[in-house]
Amino acid sequence: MTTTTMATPPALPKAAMAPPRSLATAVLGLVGSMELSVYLLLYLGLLTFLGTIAQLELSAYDAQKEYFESWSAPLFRGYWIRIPGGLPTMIALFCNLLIGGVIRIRWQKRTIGILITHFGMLLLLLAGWVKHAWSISGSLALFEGQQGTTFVSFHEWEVALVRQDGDKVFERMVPAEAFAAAALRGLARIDDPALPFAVDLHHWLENCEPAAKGPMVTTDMPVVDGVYLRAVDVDLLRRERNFAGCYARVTERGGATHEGVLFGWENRPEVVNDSPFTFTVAGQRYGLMLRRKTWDLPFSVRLDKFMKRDHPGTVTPMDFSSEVTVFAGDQTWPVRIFMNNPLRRDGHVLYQTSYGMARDGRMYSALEVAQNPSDKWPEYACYVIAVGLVWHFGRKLLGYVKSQQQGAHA
Amino acid sequence: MMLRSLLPNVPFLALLAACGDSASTWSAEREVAAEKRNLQWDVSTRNRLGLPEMGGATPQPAADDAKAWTGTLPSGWEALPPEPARFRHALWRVAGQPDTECYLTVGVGGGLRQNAQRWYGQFGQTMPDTAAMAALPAITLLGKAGHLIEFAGTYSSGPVPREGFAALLAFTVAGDRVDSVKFTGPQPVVAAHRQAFLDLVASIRVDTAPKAPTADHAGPAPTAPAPSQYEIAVPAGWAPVAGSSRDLHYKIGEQTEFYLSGMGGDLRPMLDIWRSEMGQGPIDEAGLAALPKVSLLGTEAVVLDQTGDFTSMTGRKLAAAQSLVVAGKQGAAITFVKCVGPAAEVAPQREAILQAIATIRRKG
Repeated sequence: MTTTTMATPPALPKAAMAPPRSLATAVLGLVGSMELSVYLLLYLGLLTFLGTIAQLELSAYDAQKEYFESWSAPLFRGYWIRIPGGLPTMIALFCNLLIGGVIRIRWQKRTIGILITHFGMLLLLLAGWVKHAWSISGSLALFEGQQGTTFVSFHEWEVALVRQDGDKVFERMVPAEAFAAAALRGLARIDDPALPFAVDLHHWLENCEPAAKGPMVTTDMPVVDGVYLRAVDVDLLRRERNFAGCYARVTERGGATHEGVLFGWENRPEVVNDSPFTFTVAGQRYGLMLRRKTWDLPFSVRLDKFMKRDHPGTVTPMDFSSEVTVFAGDQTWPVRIFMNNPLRRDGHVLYQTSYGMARDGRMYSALEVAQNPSDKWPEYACYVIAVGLVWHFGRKLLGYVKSQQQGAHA
Repeated sequence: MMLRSLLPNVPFLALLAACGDSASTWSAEREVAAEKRNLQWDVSTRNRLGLPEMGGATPQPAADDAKAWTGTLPSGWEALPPEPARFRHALWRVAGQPDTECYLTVGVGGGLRQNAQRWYGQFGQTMPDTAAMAALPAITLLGKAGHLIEFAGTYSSGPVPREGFAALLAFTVAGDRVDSVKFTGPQPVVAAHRQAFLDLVASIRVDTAPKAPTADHAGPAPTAPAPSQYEIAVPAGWAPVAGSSRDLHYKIGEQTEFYLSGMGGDLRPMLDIWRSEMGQGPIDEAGLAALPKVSLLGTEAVVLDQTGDFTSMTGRKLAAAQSLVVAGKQGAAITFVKCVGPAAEVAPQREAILQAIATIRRKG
């Protein structure tokens, strides 16, 4: 009888006994890892630092666009090396929190607080995305006694095609970002077959001033009605101070053309851009305007009183506020707008942001108007995060107190 | 691998991205109440682009300046020689009331809005909406239908705001050209002469004998502007600017101007305006605190001394300029002395200018 004894195989390391991880699991593990969270938050800190330094040369608006609302950002300004911008970083952080903090985490009683906190953070990031994608903001500047219902963008331009029929104005717009690059190089055509003409925009200037073309003046720019646009250095630090301009050629379907100069001269409330380049085609009068993007409030606001208090002995404002009357339908009511106390109505928020003085010495109040669907979301997110943290650490504290009491009884 | 396959396409993709589609289309049509836009149609290119404000006064048609205008002189009034350079194509005042002024301005550009905003602003008021403007009392001026505006309050159209003033303003509009007759003075005087003003407005006409002195223009001989309420000791060589409406207005050298003026409001925004004329941004706290201080009319004033390319609020440009401004708060207003000219002219005179400023006194 032969007995055969099989050799016992050597024990495998515990890790090797685990079922092999799929690629998807590995990727999910990496994307949802705590390490990635830390790296992403550190990277956001770096972007914040770079964006802050960039404001030595750029306006806050441009720095925000270039570093936080972009897919890539320059590591050093003026050099070609680019690094991921705020947009992919925050998307990555959102995915990281969603996968690591919501999907992969064990949904247990002890993790309720952590889950709630992660939901709050996700809501915070979501609010940022909604604001980035769908919000608008602009300025409404009023003298005392003036009533306003229109607010205009701080930095963004549009060309508006307007026509008037009695007490109604019909306007169609094209944002500058849709044509500026083409109008800088050559002709940017804006066309709609339903209209009896096409519009070509050219010689786009981000900052310019109109000048009269006299016999002693030489210029490479087109001259229309004895006037041409002269380029002015773009103010990168205070972009809202730039006045854009370009030329427009209206070509009728029959071939006739109309030439005009468009200049975004507007400095509300003192100067309002309300005089379009006028032309008539097929008996209909049209106007073309280059203006700051313009929106209308569903209500109107009258500035009753602007108040500014200075620190004693200085011209530095201690605080400033606006007493306004809101008109909506046949209802009116007074509101005081001051720092951290905006007017909220019909999806719009009016903040007290600034003030100024017109050339004739009159003071005016400048309100920022924001229409942001996620306006209150950050506040709600903070409440959610607070509830999550209180829940989590409260539970920990109770557990600790309980164990201490048990230790004392033992 | 995938990256390697994509690399050869990068130049093409970049070109595609750079070229893009240069044709765009309009958004959907949006309907807006006309009063929200208040569009000014058929405005000339110059006025539409703000050239009257940015490049100096609207050029008047030569025919307007060549014409003479007259009206039936009300009892107790006197006619003064016209000053077309100051947009006073005909000029009158109440006899014995040097604070009053009534003048005709013909064909000024800018349209109703820009002119009316200025008129209302001079009394600290805001231009009402189009409907309210259309509802103003009717007048006839030079054969055209127009309206009358009446103001009362503090009149801020000079170096010093004048309280208790009133104005009657008759105007007509044709396209972007505005004709107006403006009568200003102390409230009781203006109220007492309201009907006389309206009669004068109705009687204004083109003078058929423009060069000959008429009975209506049989006023005093050309006179110097109203005497300044200030005095100053200036170095030899400074030339008073004849006929200027500004106080202590001198010409230094070929191009440098020196004058005293005033304006309502706070100091800091004005400093920012003067800095912006030299291409500078707003002044910060440290910069404000660091400005040298001198005495102006008995109060502390800051000295803003800048060199560079100058562009005035009216668009006047001067390369390699020096702007020396001394400004101080006088109650609710700012009083300032401004001296602007080529740096080559101002710099050698800087100390003399500051010494002259130190001598400015109110008369009496």
